[in-house]
Order: sequence, then structure tokens, then C-alpha cells
Amino acid sequence: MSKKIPKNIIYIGTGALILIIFIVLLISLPRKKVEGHKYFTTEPATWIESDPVTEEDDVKIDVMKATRAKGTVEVTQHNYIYDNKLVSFFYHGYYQGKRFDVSYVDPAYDNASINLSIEQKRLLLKNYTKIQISKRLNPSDGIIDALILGKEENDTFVFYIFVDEDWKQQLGYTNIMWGDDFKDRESLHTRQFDFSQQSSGIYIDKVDYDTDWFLSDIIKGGLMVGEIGTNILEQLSTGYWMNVTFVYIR
Amino acid sequence: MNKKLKQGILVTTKLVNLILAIAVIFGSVYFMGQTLWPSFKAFMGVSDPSVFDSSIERYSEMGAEHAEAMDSINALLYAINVLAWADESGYSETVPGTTDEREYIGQYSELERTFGDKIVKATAIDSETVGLRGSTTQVAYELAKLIVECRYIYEDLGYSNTRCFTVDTNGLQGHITETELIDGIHAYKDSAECEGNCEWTCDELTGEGWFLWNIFNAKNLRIEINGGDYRDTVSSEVTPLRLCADTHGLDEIMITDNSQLCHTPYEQLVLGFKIENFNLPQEVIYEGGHLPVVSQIAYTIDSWLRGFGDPKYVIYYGVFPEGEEEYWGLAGYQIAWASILIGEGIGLGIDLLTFGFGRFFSRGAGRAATAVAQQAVEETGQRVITETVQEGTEQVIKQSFKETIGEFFERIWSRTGRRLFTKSVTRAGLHDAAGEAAEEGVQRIVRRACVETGVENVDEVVDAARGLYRDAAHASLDFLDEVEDPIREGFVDASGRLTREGRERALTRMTDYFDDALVHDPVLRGTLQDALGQNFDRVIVNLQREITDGFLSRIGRLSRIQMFFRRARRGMLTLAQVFDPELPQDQLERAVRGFMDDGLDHLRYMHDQDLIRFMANQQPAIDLFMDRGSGEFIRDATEGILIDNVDDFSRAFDDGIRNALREQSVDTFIDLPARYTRVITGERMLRISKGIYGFATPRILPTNPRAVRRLALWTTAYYLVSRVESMHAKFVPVGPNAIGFRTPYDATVIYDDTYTRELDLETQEDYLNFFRHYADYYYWERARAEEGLTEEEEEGGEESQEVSAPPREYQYYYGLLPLVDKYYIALIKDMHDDILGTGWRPFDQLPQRFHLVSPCKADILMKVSRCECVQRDEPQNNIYLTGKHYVLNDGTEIFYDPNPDPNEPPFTYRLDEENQPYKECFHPDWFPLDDYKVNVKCIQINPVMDQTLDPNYCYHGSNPGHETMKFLTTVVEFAVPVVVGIFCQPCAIPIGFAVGLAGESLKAYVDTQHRWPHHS
Repeated sequence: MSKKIPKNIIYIGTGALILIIFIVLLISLPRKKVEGHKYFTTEPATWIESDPVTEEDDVKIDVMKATRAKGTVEVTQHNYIYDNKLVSFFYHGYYQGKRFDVSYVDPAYDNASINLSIEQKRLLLKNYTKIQISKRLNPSDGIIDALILGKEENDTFVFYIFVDEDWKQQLGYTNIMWGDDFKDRESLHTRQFDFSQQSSGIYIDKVDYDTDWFLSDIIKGGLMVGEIGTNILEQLSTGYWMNVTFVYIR
Repeated sequence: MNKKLKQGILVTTKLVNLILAIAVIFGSVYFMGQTLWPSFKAFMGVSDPSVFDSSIERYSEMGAEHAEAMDSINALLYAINVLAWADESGYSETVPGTTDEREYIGQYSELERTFGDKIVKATAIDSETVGLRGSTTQVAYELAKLIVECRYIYEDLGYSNTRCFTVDTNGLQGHITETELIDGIHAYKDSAECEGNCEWTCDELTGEGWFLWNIFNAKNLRIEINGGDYRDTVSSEVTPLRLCADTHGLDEIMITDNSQLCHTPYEQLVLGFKIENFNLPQEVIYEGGHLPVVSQIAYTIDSWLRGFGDPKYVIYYGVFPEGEEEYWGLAGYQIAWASILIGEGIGLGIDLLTFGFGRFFSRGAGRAATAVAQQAVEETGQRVITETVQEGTEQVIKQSFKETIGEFFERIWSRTGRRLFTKSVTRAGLHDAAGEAAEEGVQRIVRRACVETGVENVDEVVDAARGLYRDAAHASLDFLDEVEDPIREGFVDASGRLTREGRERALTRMTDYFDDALVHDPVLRGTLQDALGQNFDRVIVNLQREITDGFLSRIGRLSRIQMFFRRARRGMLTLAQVFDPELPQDQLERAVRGFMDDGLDHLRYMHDQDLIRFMANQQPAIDLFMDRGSGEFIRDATEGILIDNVDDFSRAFDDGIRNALREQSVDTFIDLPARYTRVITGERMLRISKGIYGFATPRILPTNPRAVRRLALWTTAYYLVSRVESMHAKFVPVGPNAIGFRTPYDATVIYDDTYTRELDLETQEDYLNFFRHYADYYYWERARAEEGLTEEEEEGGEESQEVSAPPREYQYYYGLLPLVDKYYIALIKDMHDDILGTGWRPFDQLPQRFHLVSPCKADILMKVSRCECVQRDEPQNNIYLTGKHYVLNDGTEIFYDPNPDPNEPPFTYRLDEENQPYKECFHPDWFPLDDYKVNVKCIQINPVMDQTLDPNYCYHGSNPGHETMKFLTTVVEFAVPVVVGIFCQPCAIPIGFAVGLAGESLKAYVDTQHRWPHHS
């Protein structure tokens, strides 16, 4: 007569088998990719890192962290891999009516830096720089600092704008103006910069709609920040000189 | 005496005499043989020619130098091709059986190649991997070199995060702490490999140096290694390590195993290239310097430019960017006393005319003016000024001045006219002349007005005025280009000067241009009007007057050359036009004299072998019109084509030479034919091989002095013309997808897609094969040429190994691929940095059309990126967009192919005078704020210049310091007279004259220190 397997063993064995199968399936199933934010944080304040070595208030915007390693800022341009394609944004500005690309330096620097060594010139440059577009900002050195950074966020493309305390003190007002076509003044958006969010002396604002001006082959629009408005744009475009300060990205 | 003894003495004496005689004979033979053997060998044709002629050694150096340049260019072209292909293909291919899944073809390191000693390295995801082996001391030293090099890359990229190398330390024996690494940097700093800026960089990294600087200079080096048993040490236990430049708050060069510490820009995860040892060599030394003992090919800066016009090697994308050649314009190297005197003399003259002579010619002021004039305006303006001063009345002075202004220029023609005469002409020469005149006039008129008005943005106003002046000067002579023969039309006389009708036409065009520009250019009008206020009208009038009295009165000579050059470009020899039989005798003499002086002046500075090379290149053209043996003009070639009556021309030609020789120093002119004789016969040269020198030696020797003089003068004239053409050639576009390569007097070498279009490249393997064998055919041919020389030199020696010929299709593995046409090629120049306080340049140089100029020794970084260009579409200015169809005024239809890449923004093209297209990229700064623009795909080429080499040029860098010096002197020039004038009005003019003279000389001196071959 065959020995019957006890039922509890069957139940236990079946349960163990099911458990094993379940575990195996669990392990072998492809994992859903979850965007991590431990390093690539989403809060813009966390992208601003202070300089631990110097006693000054230098801070730096970690572009890699902000853009999840998709973007870089290379002096005059901001490159970004968008939809597997390289897009670039170029920085320019006006300081009291004078055009500049990345920084504006008082022309008196030329005279002051004659016959100085390179290291001495470097040290002296701080005293004559008026404004700069850079990922390194110092909110209290008297130099107006700003940066505009583009990135993807929640299936849209947004622009973060960073300006420092010197900016807030020295400019009479700060508007943000952007749109698809600068020549079509009516289509441009304009609003005031929101100074309510700040970190380490850096104010942060964001533009998150109607920002796809950069996707067309021919760039007609862009984003401007500073003493700007449609009437000022009109005057500047016709060659009229105006004592205004703003930066822009196109 | 014993007879036997006597016999013995006699024999001994004879024996001794015999021995002595033999010794003397053998000694003599030996001694003379030592001296004469090389000659004997040479006579027999088995000597080393360099024993007799050190210039042969020089030619070997030249051959090696040219090979160096060619290796660099091959490396550059290779890298451009691979970049374009890798960007297009992603260096991947679709996985079989899928539609959108791609897999990488291989490792980027497989694309690395060498061309001579030029190494093309991929800088991709894993960056450049360097293996380090040996003891801790050895590896620390090698690591130190890499760290310093990383710092250089970091600085040149504007202090952006940079991944330099991946370091493989598998072969390291031991552990390297930070202290030992710093010791390694010290050892490197003390070595002969580290020169110039290298030492400073080492101090920058280690935070050391002399004490004042040390206060500010913290260590900029960090090891952060968390793996292994020994934290923060370099060892074989943790490998590979990343060596990178990280601006993570500290601006450091880091060695780490933590990838998150070196934040890698995404672009460095795609393919980039680094070309090591890129070198367009050119040895130029400063005036008064000794020729290097080793190198025989060095020239002084001045003598090189006099002889050749352009730097030795010039490469460019599409066309050479106009304006960049100003940095080696010869005028800038001479403190042109004559032009300074003229400028100041004219200024003095105008002051005299406008400020009124009545007040000026008070007794005291008259004497002061006379003294100043006599002292400062010696041979050129003295007669004018002192005569007019002696007349004493305003009206007579004015009239006399106006009448003699023509003669005034005649006198200074001997100084400055010659300089203008030999400049590159048409666009370039006119540009030079207009630019010079603009500089003088604008500086005086506009800066003065700015000082008076109290303008703040003086530079901007002066720039605007300068541009207006230059463009108006150009526009005033546009009508000469619209007619076939301005002489026949009556606009220009036989001597090349504008006739009254021509002058009127020019003035009309000029005023029309001023009106048009000021109405239709709101930026210009705004800049000038707002700045100058009520002085605006006066300034405009003065500028127009300046063009009339300054530029147009000088330009007469150049218009003649314009015509010559136009005819040359249509294939007609210009020389015959220079010695036009319609020229009056005195004009012919003047032309002959001009050629003699200028040509001798330039050719004198050429080394003999360069002269041979030049003559060999030009000889075929010269032979068309002159028989080298007799010196006679060849009747069939010249008569009916260029000269109606050869005999008359021949007589006039000889008369011109003869009369000119009466006035000129005969010695200088005799020297030239003597030198020509020497190089033609090659009497200093024993053997010249085609393989070495690449050309054939002229063999025909003119025997009679008349023939030699004629040949010398004809060749000299041809030299001048061909110099002009050579310098102008770089402004002739080579194509929209082409790199041009120029050396003086040689035809432009064009690297385009002519060959590669014939290839049937489809698969990735096709492309990889192309890259593997790129330029193989060129190197095979070079090896053959070098072997040919070896066989000649070593007769009876070993047979050289045959180099097997590559497949014939490899001839097409050269130039640029067609897909490179989808990119614009840009040069990344000096940049500011993104970390305030560590950069020293106050501004960024904008990217520019790619070009490089020798001397240029650098590592080249290249990658695909985007460049911003303003979109222009102005058919009337020959500026076109792709994908459009145009019909020009003459009915010509132009259609540019749809954009090379329809998925990308369109390019803008420009046509030159011959309707040759090239890509153009206008920078947004030059246009209104709201202009439309495109961000085109571009290949960015960034030279990291060798800091230890001086001079090292590559392109003109940024250095605003000297501009300030010039500005200051100009301010002083105008401010001092104004201030003095407040207290002593009559004194202001002569004082202004003297101060102006000093200021101009100082500015000229400053200028010479910041031109080629100085980078900045």
C-alpha cells in the first residue's frame, strides 16, 4: 500500500513553490524606471552650492545637477540635449545701453591693467566688472550676476532665472519678457520678476509656458530679463540708445 | 777621411734626403688632399653638396617643415571628417531585426590615428585613457605633466568643467600621496620640459610662489580617492582614475575615482577629438636677432613680410576672413614717419586755413609756426609751409597751399606712394588705403569733436564714423568697377589719377552714400547724432572733406593698379599694362623706378633659395613674353595681344631703365642682376635634385648686361604683381565645403569633396575603411619621393625597400566628405572664463570662421556644437539663403540646393565677384536686437596654444591694453591743444602739431608690439 503524503506537507510545499515562483518572477520582471532625485534634485534651491573654501559669498549653480546631466553652460552658450538632439541657447545682454555677450567690464580696466602680470590682471578684473552672465554668482560683491537655465520638467520645457542681490539693488525694476517672435510685439509675454524665492542671496523665478520658441529652425523669439518691455524693445530695435540693463537668451 | 766613411756619409745623406723628400711629398699630398678632396669629389660629382652650400641644409629643413605642416593639415581634415560622420551616424548602427534599436560599432579609440607625429585622439565617454607605469617617482612626474596639461585645456575652455583623462594605474609600483604628487609637480617644474608659463601653472596648482601672490593663491589640486586601502592616494588598487578639471566650488584639477565629483558635461559623452602637436611652423625672429644656429630658414619679421606678403602657412574654411590680414599688413610694422608727417602736415594746413591766419600771423605766433614747421615737416612739406608762412597774407597762403597740395603729395609719393603701390590692391588695397585714410581722418576729426562735446562712448562713435568713412570711400570709387576701361571713359588719366570728371563722379557717389547711410541706417545715425549733438553736421562735412582731400587725392595711383589687377584676373598679363606704351616718358620712368626700388627692396630680403623657387614658379609666365637668353620681347606673344608695337615698347622700356639708372644708385640695381646670375647659373649650387626642391633649376643664362637688366626688371615687376595676386588669393572663396591652404606664390590647395564624391560610401564599414586609409596615397607618394633622393645620394649603396602602391581608389581618400557640408566650421578664440577672479581677459572673442595662420603650435580640441548666426537674405548684396530661387539683375538664375540637411536650420551663403559661394555666419551683435537668427550645426575648433613657444600666433588674440595706450595718446593729442588754447589760442596749433606728432609715433610703436606673429 502506497504511503500518502501528508496534506500539510503538500500545502507547505505548494506554498513554498508558489512563493519561489513569485520571488523569481518578481526578480526577473523588468523594473519600472523611476527617476531618482537623490543627486539630481528638483528643487532649484538645492542646485545652488556655496563655496566652502573662500570666505566670500560665492555660490555656484550646478548645471549638471539641475539638468540631470543633459545640459552644460560653456561661457557664451548653454547646450542641452533635447529629444536626442543638441539645442543651444546663446547669452547676451545690455548694460546701461551697451551690448555685451557674457560680461561687461568698465573700459577703464584697460588702462588700469597695463603692465600688470596675468595674475594681477585677474585680481583687478573683479573691481571693474559691472555685470556678468555666469553660473557662479556672488550676491554681495557689487557685480550684477545672472543666469538663465533651460531644462525639461514635467513634460515641458522651462527656464529658470537666477539673479543675485546686486541685481535687485542696482536695477530699477526687473521684468521678464518672452515669446516666439520679438518682432511681433503683441505676442510677447511680460510680467514682473518674482523675488519671493531666494537661496543664499540668489533669487529664483521660473517661466514654464509658451517656451518652445527655440524649437523652430529660425529663432525669432527668446527670453529677456531686466529693464525691458515692449516699448523699450521697440526703441532699441530702431537703433535708439537707452540706458537700460537686461540679459537675454536666444 | 776614410773613403768608406765618406761614402757612408754620402749614402746616409742621400737616404735622409730621400726620406725627407718622400715625407714632404706625402705630407704635401696628404695636406692638399685634405683640402682639395672635397673639391675633387665635387668635381667628380660624388660629394655631399651641403659641404659647399649650406643653403642645401636649409632646404632639407624646409622640406621637413612643409611635411610638418602637411601632417597637421591631414590630421585636421581627418578629424573633421570623422566628427561629421560620427555625429551623423552616432557611431552606431541599427541592430539587425529592429527598426530603432542601435548599437555602437566599436570603441572610439579605434578611430585614433597618427599623421607623422600628429596624434588624433578621441575624447569620448571614457575620455582619453593614459596608462602610467613605473615607480612612484616616475608616475608622479608623469601625472604632474598630465595635470598641467589638464589645466591648460581647462583654461582654454573658459574654465568650464572639463574631463581631461582617464588614468590607468595598473602599472604603478607603490602608492602616491598628495605630498608625493606635489613633489612630482616640483620635479616637472624644474625640468627642461617645463618652460615659460608652465612654471607659473605648476605654482598655481600647488599654491606656491612668491609671497605676495601666495596670499591669494590656494592649492588647486585635489586627490579624492575613496576606494582601496589607502584613502586619497594613487595606487594600482583603484584604477582607472579620472583626471578632470572641476569647478565644484574650488576650481581644481582632481584625481578621483568618484564619477560624481567630476561632473561630466554631456557633450563630452559624445565624440570629440584632440589633435596633439598640431604645428604650422614658421620661424620668425625679431629685427636684430641672430639667426638660430641650427635653423637656416628663419627670417626676420620685417624681411619675411617684405618678401612674401603673407605668413608662410594660412588655412581657412571657405574664404579667409577679411580684416584678419590687417594684423600683418606691412605698414603696421613701420613707424611711417612720412605718413605721420603728412597727416600732421595736413592737419596743420587745415588748422591754418580754418582757424584764420590773421590771428595766427601775429609776429610771435608766426615765428613759432615757422619754427615748428621747419623742424617737423622736413623734406616733404617744408617748402609748402615755409613759403606760405613767408607770404604772410591769409588769402595768398590759402591759395598757395591749395596749389601746392598736389605737389605736396608728389613729394611724399616717393615715401608713402611706394608703400601704397606695392600693397595688395582692389578690395584689399583699397581697403588698406581707405582704412588708413579713415584712421587718420576719423581720429582727428571725430575724436576732437567728442572731446569738445564731452561724449562718453567715444569708442563707439569713432567706430561708427570710421566704418562710415571707409564705406563711403569705397563707394566713391564704385563707378570705376562699372566700366571696362576707366581711361577710355575719361575718368582716369594715363598716370592713373582721377580726372576732373572722375573726381566729380567720385564726389557725387560719396555724398550720395553719406546721405543714404545716415537716412537708412538708424543705428549709425543714432550713434553719431546723439553723441555729437550740434557738432554732428560739422563732423559730417569734415569727414567728407577729408575723403576728398585725403583719400581721393591719393587713390589716383591705386586706381591704375586696380585696372591692372582686374585684367590679370581675366587672364591678361598685367605687366604689359604697367609699361604701357601710352605712358608718357616721365610716367614710364616713374613706373620703372617704382618697380626697381620696390622690387629690389622686397626681393633683397629673400633667401637665395626662396628666390630660386619664386623664379621657377614664375618663369613659365615670364618666358611667355621675354626670351631669357637675349632679353628680347617675344614678338608673337606680345604683339597684337598686349602691345601694339613691340619695337616702340622695347625702346621705351630700355629708355626708362637707362634714365632711371641716372637718378638711382646704380649699385643697388647692379646687385640684382648679379644675384640673379648667381642663382640662375647655380654656380654656388653643385647639384640640385628635383626630389628635394620640387622644382627644376632654370638653365638658361642671359649673357649681355642689357638682357640681364631687362630680365631682372621684368622679373621684379612680375614679382610685384604676383605678390599682389598671391596675397589676394586667400580672398577668393574655395567653395562652400572646402578648406583652403595657402603658401606664398603657390596655387591655393583646396581640400573639398571633389574626390570623395566619387566614392560609393554607404555602409558604416565603408566609412571606417575610408578613415583607416585616409591620406594613405599622399604618404605613399611622399615616401617614394624621399626614397628617390636616397637612391641618388647613395649611389651603389643599399637598395631601398620598395613601398607597395596602395589601391588606386585611395587617391580619393582625401579632402572633405560631402556630409561635412552640413556643418559650418568655426574657430573658438580667446574667451573670458566663467569664474570671476580666475580669468583675466575682460571680454570674449566671438567665434569666427575657421582659419589658422603660422606660426601655430597647439593642441587642437574639436567637437560638434552649434553656432549662432543672424539670418540674412539680401540678394542685392550677394547674400542668399538655401532652398530659395533667385533671378539676378543680369538674368542669371541661382538656386541653392535645399539645405544640406533639411532637418537643420538653413545656412546663409555669400557669393563673391565670380559668383563662387561660401557659407556665411553673421554674428547677432552686428544687427538689430530683434533680428531673426539660426543656430546652425557647427564643428568648433579650439586651439590650445603651446605656451612655451614664442612667437606663436594661430590667430589674432585679445589684448585691449594697447588699444588703451593708443586711445590715451589720442586723447592727449586733442586735449592738450584744447587746454593750451584756452590760455594761448595761437599756441594751440603748433603745440597740437607737435603733440600730435609724438602721439602718432607712440601709437605706431605700440601697434607693432601687438601684431603678427604676436598672438595678442
